[in-house]
Amino acid sequence: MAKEPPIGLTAEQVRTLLEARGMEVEDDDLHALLPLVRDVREQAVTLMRVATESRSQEGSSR
Amino acid sequence: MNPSDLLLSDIKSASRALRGGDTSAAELVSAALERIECEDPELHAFVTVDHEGAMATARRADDELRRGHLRGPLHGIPIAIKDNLPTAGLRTTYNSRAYASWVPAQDNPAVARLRDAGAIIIGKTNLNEFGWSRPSASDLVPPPLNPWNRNHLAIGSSSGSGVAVTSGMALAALGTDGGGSTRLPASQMHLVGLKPTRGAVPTARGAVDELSVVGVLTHTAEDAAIVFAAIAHREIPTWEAGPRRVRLGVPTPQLEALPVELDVLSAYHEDLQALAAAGAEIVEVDLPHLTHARDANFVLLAALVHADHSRDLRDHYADIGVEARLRHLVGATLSLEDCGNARHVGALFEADLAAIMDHCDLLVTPVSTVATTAAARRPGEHNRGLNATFTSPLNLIGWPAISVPTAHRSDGLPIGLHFVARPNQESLLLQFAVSVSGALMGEQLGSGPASQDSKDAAPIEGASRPAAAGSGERLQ
Repeated sequence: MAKEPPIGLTAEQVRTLLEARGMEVEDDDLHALLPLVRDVREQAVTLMRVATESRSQEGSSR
Repeated sequence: MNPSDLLLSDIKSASRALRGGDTSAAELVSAALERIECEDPELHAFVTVDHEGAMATARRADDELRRGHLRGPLHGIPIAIKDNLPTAGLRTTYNSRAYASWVPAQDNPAVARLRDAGAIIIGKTNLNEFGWSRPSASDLVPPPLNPWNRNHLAIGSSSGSGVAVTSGMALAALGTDGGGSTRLPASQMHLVGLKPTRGAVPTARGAVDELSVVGVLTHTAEDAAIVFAAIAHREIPTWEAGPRRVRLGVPTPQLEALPVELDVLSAYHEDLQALAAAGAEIVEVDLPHLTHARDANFVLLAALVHADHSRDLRDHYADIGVEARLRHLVGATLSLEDCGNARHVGALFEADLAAIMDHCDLLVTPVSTVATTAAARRPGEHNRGLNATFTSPLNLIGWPAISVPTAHRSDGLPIGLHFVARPNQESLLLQFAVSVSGALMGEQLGSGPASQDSKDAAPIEGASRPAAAGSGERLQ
């Protein structure tokens, strides 16, 4: 069973992810980015639940 | 018809006039340039207009016609290109200051095919920066207004392409469609908007090609078929062979559960009645993964546009508008596992739809959940693509779909209807759209192609009328 990640990320976590890709963002952008990150993370978590449940059903039907 | 009127009619009529010597390509292009000069300072359909190049190409097209060389139905026809599709020798900006002076050496393949077919590229149309943003003060060109009611912005991202065609600045336009960006503006501007099957038209744009395709915006379905045939190297369908009786799947559980605006929903139900009266069989179907597929499309899109533009973000950060910066940065927070989950959900949705298509010919839905751009961009909804719930799942699975004009509008803005077919069944979509265009415009269904008489008054004139009181009215 996949472990469910927390919804949303902190500003520092987002900064770290971006810096790992060679991108430096201004503080204003970073804070404006957080609501968008939360939205996309919520969607991603929903998709993980749907996909996990589907894979589990596929597995049990084999 | 004079050249100015031809631009508001259709490609078929303009081509007939060109072949018959009633007009020339130079006259058509000149009329288009005049309309752009008159209207575009307010409408903002274009980022770049190729005055000299278009006139020179038109004169060459006329020379070829005089020598008896007709390339096909697009010979001498002015067409506009969304400014995220590169054009050789003509600047391509993505409506971004980061690309304000980029002049590509090569055409996008679809553009090259249009040129080979004799079309005249009149200019590059406006879009949300990089096609995945929302208007901001730093855009090269402000966002386009909708000519049907200039109090509203045109929906994107192929907003400029829609405005150019509906206001008679070009007879067709190419857009792109990664979640509905061709079908949504077509719906809102009383146009046909075709999203082809993934892979049917060469794109060559990057990772986003997994979801985004080159789309077509035209006045009629016959015109869409002509342009699609040129860019996909397909045959133009035979209209007489159109479907006599079709089974249309209607996703009733989702329509009942989703927050669809009342005007949109009542227009949809009236259209279903018109289709049933015209001989279509309506079948209730279930699409349990529809909203999950929408979310999956936008999660994957965020990851893909980040991949495609990460170099721009590193090298031109300050030149990219803040709205576009943010939307292209978000994807950095997604993992391969997230993308894998999104694709898995796509497979679930595709299985649902494939099962429906075992007993239906087409799926029919509203194009959008809302009628206006302001409603589509409500805080908390735009980021999640809620207005694109019916369009974006088809991008995820790569199936073709079409937005078709109807007689309905809300606050002056037209409301289209959305049909979906199995992969590579664009001919069925186009044939069906032609065969029901009269019924959807409140006319008796004819056996042949839609008559030009069914086209409404010019939108510019319509837009000059005050917004009708109330809503959900039908076009007269």
